[in-house]
Amino acid sequence: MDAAMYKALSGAVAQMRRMDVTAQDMANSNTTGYKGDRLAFSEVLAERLPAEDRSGGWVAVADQRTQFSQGGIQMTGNPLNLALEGDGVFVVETARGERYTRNGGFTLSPDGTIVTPQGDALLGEGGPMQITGTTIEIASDGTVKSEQGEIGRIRVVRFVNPDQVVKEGANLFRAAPANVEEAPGARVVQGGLEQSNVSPIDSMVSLISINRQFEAYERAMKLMDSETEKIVADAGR
Amino acid sequence: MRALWTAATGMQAQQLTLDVVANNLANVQTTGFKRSRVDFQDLVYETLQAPGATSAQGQEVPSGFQVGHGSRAVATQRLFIKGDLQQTGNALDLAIEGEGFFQIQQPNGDTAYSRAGAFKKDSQGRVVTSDGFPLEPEITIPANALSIAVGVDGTVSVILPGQQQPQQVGSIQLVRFINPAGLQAQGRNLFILTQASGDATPGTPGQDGLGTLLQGFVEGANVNVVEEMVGLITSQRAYEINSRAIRTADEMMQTANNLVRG
Repeated sequence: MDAAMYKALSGAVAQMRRMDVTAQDMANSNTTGYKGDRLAFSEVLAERLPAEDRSGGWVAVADQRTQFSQGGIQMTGNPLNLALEGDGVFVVETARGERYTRNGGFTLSPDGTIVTPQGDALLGEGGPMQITGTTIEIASDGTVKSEQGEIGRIRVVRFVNPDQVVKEGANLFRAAPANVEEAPGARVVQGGLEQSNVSPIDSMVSLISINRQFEAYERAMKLMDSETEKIVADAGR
Repeated sequence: MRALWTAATGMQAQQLTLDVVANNLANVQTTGFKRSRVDFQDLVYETLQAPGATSAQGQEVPSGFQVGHGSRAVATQRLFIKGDLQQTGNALDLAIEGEGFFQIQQPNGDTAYSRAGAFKKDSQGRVVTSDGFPLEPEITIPANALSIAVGVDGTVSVILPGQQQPQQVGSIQLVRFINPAGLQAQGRNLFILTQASGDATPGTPGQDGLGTLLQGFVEGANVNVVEEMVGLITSQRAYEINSRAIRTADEMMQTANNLVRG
């Protein structure tokens, strides 16, 4: 039997991978600051194959790209709900090191530090920010003020190469220090939250196409199987 | 295929949204009620191929491949946006115009906080909530008072029979929190402080950023029916598309099963 059967199988497996990624996006269609993923299956693959088998037709996941497009901003009126407008991410200090997030649903720790719901501190230019006083005012450039004066400025950074960013769950991204630079273009919106950028319509269309393509690969495999069966039967006559 | 389980977490998350929206809608006429919203996060990812890793052919992979495991609800957040004021004409109905909470003494002696200013008098003349919990600091209205006046700064004065000048019987103090979203709802329109809300800072109404008092009005719920209905539709549709993902995953497995001829 030639490689055709396995090529069709590789296509079917790729569609299953695509299904997993689409389901993840759909499950997070209401997750604050979530960024959807897109898979690419491309000819880039041929280059990765050994030179003796570059006939093409092999399919695998070439690329998974997180789409960092802007999500809609929903106003909540909560002073510690922050949304980012433009290219940028907040920096939070976790036990595992600095992590990045677009989810600006912050709260206060017992000592008044601005933290994520997990308790990781939001980092300002001078480290974690501890609020003193009773009002919190955050300007679009990230300056945090209370009635007792300026407390600090929220650090907003951007990814130099978004393709090299790893999702960690809990709305956190991980990136190498060299992949992070200051983001002067991003604006902080106080009292708002960025919604997921997953488009339900795109997801539904993906579902249909995944299902149909998977079916097509199955048909192809069946067809090849029945061809082989015929050859075997003829040869044995 | 993970898709089945991933989509199931999506459906569970939407069920929780529905519970919260239903509670918001059920309290659309509750004085001083503050609506909640659910905060979601994505679950951990499985990295099948790390970005920047080296492939079998010695090339650097430009971007990795990660599959997530769905979403989960992490918090319900209460939104302290002001509700509409409703005129009642009742002398002990008080609305806070601005930030601040009334202090209410619970039967166990602890202080709770409330935005619901529909107060009453009990048999001893004390100013109490509908549940009979007294306002703190305690204010007693004399039984023979002809009228009650509450000033914007919280001073409560009454006119007694035979007197022309109002007589002050107490003053209402409000408190504020640095992070009201960190308060914990107790039911009965009461909130209690938590570590996240910070300590209560008391003050005179109208000062230090506290709102002024408005007599004869109550603050309605800050639930916007249209907004909740939109939330209801959004979560129902999200529930639907997640169930569609389950169906598609199921159909794909069925297709795979068909490969083996019976």
